[in-house]
Amino acid sequence: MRKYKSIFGVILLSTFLTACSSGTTTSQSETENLEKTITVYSGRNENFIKPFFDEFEQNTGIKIQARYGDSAELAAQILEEGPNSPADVFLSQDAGAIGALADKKLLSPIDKQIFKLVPNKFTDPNNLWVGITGRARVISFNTDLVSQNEVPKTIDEIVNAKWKSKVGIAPTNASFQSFVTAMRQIRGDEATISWLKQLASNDPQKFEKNSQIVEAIDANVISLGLVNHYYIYEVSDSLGREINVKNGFFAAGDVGNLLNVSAFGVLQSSTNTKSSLQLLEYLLSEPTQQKFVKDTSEYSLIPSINPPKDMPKLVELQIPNVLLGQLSDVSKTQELLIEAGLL
Amino acid sequence: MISTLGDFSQTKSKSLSAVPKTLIVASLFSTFLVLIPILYLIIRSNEKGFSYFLSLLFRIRTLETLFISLSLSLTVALGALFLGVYIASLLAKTNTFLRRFFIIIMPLPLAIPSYVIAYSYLAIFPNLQGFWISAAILILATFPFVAIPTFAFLRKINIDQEEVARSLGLKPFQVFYRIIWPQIRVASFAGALLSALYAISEFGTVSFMRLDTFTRVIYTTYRASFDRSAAASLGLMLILVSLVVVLLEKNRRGKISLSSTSKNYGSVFNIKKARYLAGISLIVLYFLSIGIPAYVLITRSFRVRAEINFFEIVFLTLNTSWVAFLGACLSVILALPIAILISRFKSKFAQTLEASFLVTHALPGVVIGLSLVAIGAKYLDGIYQTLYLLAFAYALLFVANSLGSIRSNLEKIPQNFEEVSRSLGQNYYATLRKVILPIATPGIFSGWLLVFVSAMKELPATLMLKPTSFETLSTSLWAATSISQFAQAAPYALSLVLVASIPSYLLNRPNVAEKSLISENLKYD
Amino acid sequence: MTDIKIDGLNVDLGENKVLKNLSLLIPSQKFISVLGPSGCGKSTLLRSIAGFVAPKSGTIRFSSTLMSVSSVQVPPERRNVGYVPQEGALFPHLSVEKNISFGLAKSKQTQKRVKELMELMNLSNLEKRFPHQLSGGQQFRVAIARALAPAPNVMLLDEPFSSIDAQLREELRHEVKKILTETKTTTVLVTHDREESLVMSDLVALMRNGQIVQIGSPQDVYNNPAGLDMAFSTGDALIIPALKSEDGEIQSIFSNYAINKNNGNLIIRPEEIIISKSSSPNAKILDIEYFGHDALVHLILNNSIKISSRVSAPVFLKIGDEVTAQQIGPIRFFENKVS
Repeated sequence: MRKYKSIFGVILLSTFLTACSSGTTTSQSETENLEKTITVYSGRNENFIKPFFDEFEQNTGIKIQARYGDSAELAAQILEEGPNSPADVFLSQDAGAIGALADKKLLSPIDKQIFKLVPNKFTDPNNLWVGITGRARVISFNTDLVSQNEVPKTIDEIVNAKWKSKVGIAPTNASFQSFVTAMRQIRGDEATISWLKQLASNDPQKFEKNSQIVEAIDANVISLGLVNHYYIYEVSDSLGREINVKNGFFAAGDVGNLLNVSAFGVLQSSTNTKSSLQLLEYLLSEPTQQKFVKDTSEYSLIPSINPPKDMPKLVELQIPNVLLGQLSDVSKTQELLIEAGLL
Repeated sequence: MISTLGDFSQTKSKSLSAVPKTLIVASLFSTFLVLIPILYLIIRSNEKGFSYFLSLLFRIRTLETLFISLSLSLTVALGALFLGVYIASLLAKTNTFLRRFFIIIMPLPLAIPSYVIAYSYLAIFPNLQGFWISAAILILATFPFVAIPTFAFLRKINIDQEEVARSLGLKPFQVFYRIIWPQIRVASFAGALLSALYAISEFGTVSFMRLDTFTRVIYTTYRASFDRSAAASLGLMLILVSLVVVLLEKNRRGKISLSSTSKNYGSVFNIKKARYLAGISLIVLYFLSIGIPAYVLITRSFRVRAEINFFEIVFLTLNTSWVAFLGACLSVILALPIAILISRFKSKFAQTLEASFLVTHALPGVVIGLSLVAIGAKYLDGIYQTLYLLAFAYALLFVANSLGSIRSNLEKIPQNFEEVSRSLGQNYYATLRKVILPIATPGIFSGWLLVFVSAMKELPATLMLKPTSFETLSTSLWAATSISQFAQAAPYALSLVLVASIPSYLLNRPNVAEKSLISENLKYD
Repeated sequence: MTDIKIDGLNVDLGENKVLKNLSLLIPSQKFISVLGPSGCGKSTLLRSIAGFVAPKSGTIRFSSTLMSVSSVQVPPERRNVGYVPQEGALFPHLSVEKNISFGLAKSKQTQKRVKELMELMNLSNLEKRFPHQLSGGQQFRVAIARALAPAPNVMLLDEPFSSIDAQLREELRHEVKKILTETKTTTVLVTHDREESLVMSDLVALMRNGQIVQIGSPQDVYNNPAGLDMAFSTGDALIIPALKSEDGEIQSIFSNYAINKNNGNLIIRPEEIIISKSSSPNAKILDIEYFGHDALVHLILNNSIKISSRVSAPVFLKIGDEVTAQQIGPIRFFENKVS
């Protein structure tokens, strides 16, 4: 009996002492001046976004309490929390997740002045959310196995027998699903399900994550992959070397060239709107946008700012005309994916 | 003759066999708490009506993945059963080579999150995928659930029956199957059940290995369905599936009866030359389940050693331990009333309640997380996103672990202890406090440890319910892997495994009161 | 100085009626054993007295204080009974000292009392030991000491000697009886061992099928069994067919003339058969069981009936001897029941 008591005691004491002093409960923030702290639910990964948050804190003195997670799971959480949500700001990895919140009227409109530099097609028509950075869908390819000419020019070419078993997709990934949703918007459900079925019969290799697709391309396991543009940089960094993968682009206006955005929204339930909007200003400011381009290789949505290295300018990108906010209709997309046997 | 009534003011319980009301109330309350996620699922899935639920159920994909999940669960349960009984038998009943060493490290695979095992294997063999690999990894991760209690039981069954059987000419294997197995069956099956439920709720490994299980469907539906009824309906289906699994186990379980007529226990077979072979088999098994992950984690951590912030890791460890500690305590509190009712009062009523604890164990963390988000944000604002609600989530997630251990320990205490204590003037609560609980302490502690270890490894519910700036080892691990910084993730994973090894190691230490209940006689023959 | 009055006790365990309208008076300070075969309900009777089992109906009083009335009862912790179950049930997590003092409130007297009891039970110097470190006999003594510590009015012993080996058993019986007599404790011992019952008790109650069928001093129940069953409960018995004529004369194979029909039976104890050598033997020895201090000789009488005779040592008889068997002692005739 004594032994157990002492083991308990040690664990209890040591963890309690330190954990206690680490500011672990939200009640601490409640006692501070409300507008001095804002709570951000961020679908953007901590390692990338935290330096920005830290800089913001330094510049403005406003503390950011950030909660990290998958964009869709965080959106689901906000939906569950409803008007009681502690979140002030939702930073989404893609437009679909934040679109869902807009649909459920959980976001409050933002003064257009703040984001006037961002083109309309990258923001919500009702000003409920604003795009911060751009994430281009590309067709990555193995430079040894595929020559520049052979890279498919339209997504319809992908389903050719030539690429049987050689194409990598991530059907559970939000960006892929956004892409399919965009296809539904442009071509309609019928045509989309038809394309999906053709793709399915071409034995695509399914992965959980985009990075895994790029790694597989590099390892010569597959030749092509439908991913976001910055993954080749990410994987190359992580492996610590150059990889045999390059980004290819589809023909002008092809839905395969979808540009999705990471987006910013302020919750209706927030009582810290002023500070939240200050965060938006910071994120859209030129130095910050430049930093995004440099650090994460993502696009800035502001036309005057240069694209990431080796990538075409935004206007050249010839992205299809898609209503980004409507990319939230993912459940129907999933049904189609299921019907096609891809999910 | 004048008869005076005795003091009837305290006659609340009719007799010893009548259950103290407080225990019943406590059990009902625990059950209610444990059922909260299920209530949430029912409410949410009801939003779109019953026919919607049915249409979801009968979709091909639903049925397909349900089938895969069930098959996986069954395969893992059987595999863990065989492996666990094999290992426990070798270590408890034979003179296997390196026996003592393996007894010490027996529970260690529990310290490694299953997705870390999967991740390590992928690091070496990037092409691994599919059903059998997933099953193999899950078996390697969960066999201690079977091995630990089986081992404990094997040390206690008396050898009289064994000796008689052998004198009648039965070979060792027959002795095992006809004499020993019926006595340990209960413990082994209980462990296999935990493995089965774990396989149903698990997400990390199957997603790495790209196996389409039902849980995966739930996850993707949650990620897509901002209307959460579909996901909730699927969650309900999962409950039904696990109910089937739980009932199956009860059916096959049999009764515990440790005959205590003899004081001779624990004979050890001398298997001569085979002892080296047996030892090698153990080495291989543990290499596969602990060795490879350890190797990958250590080498990758070494590669990024310059970037490791030790102070941060210590801090994360303390955070992780503290909330896991709270969760484990809560889970023991939840489990105790039911455990007492089932084991000391043989209450059929309590056994039905027990089913709800087990079934909740099958729910993936994301479901429990969301249910508590829904309730926490709406009704429990004060503790929402505090450590206490998170600890409660852990308690719900893992209470099945503690329940089994506590219950089987309580069952071993002879029935008449309560009677003797009461005859000596102690009422029921004093009896619990002074006799029953102290004797059951080792089992309670084991149960506590199991939850503690599991809570440390937990991820999805933690992400949703933790206080906003509170980080644990697993959330940091996740943050690194989600941007494919697998190498950077390694130090967190390694720390997690190292820290979780400590309570895992403690799971197998022999305990004091057990020594008194039996006297151990290890004999070679 | 407590007596126990049990009146019309009916106890059901689940579907089974275990105790049926049982009545029993246990005088104060007396040692009574309840003797009966397994399953007759004796443990249940004990546990009803202790308060562990609720009767369906009937009353139990301790010295005119009601302990149990219908299904309302005083809980065990308030009855002040000492209970020693079959295997002692020592608490494994407590030392000998703590086991014994378990039922005592913490006070300065406690230490003294424990010491007293330990000396009484020959347990000195074992205070700090734990149950698993004690021999069977020591464990038994601790169990008794523990039950005696709170100076209970009533001691209830449930076959406590059954797990003790034979030699130790006699010694312990003696000790226990002595102590309980000295402390003037009313005691109820439940056993299936008839020797134990006869040796230790002031009163023996024979129990069968949930009812007390005979009660009396050991001599009494042994010599005057109330029926065939009761006879066998208390010792070996021979059943010899006998004929009782209208004028009360009882004839059997032992009387002068043989009988060829019978309307009843005699119960004869083996020690009531005397064996002698004479010129007209009537029996032949079939087998001899030696017990050391005596022997049970099995004979066949007049080539028709098998009987047994208890003969003190030294025994000079052999198998095959032709001897004369005679009956001495009381004639116990039991009429055949008319079916």
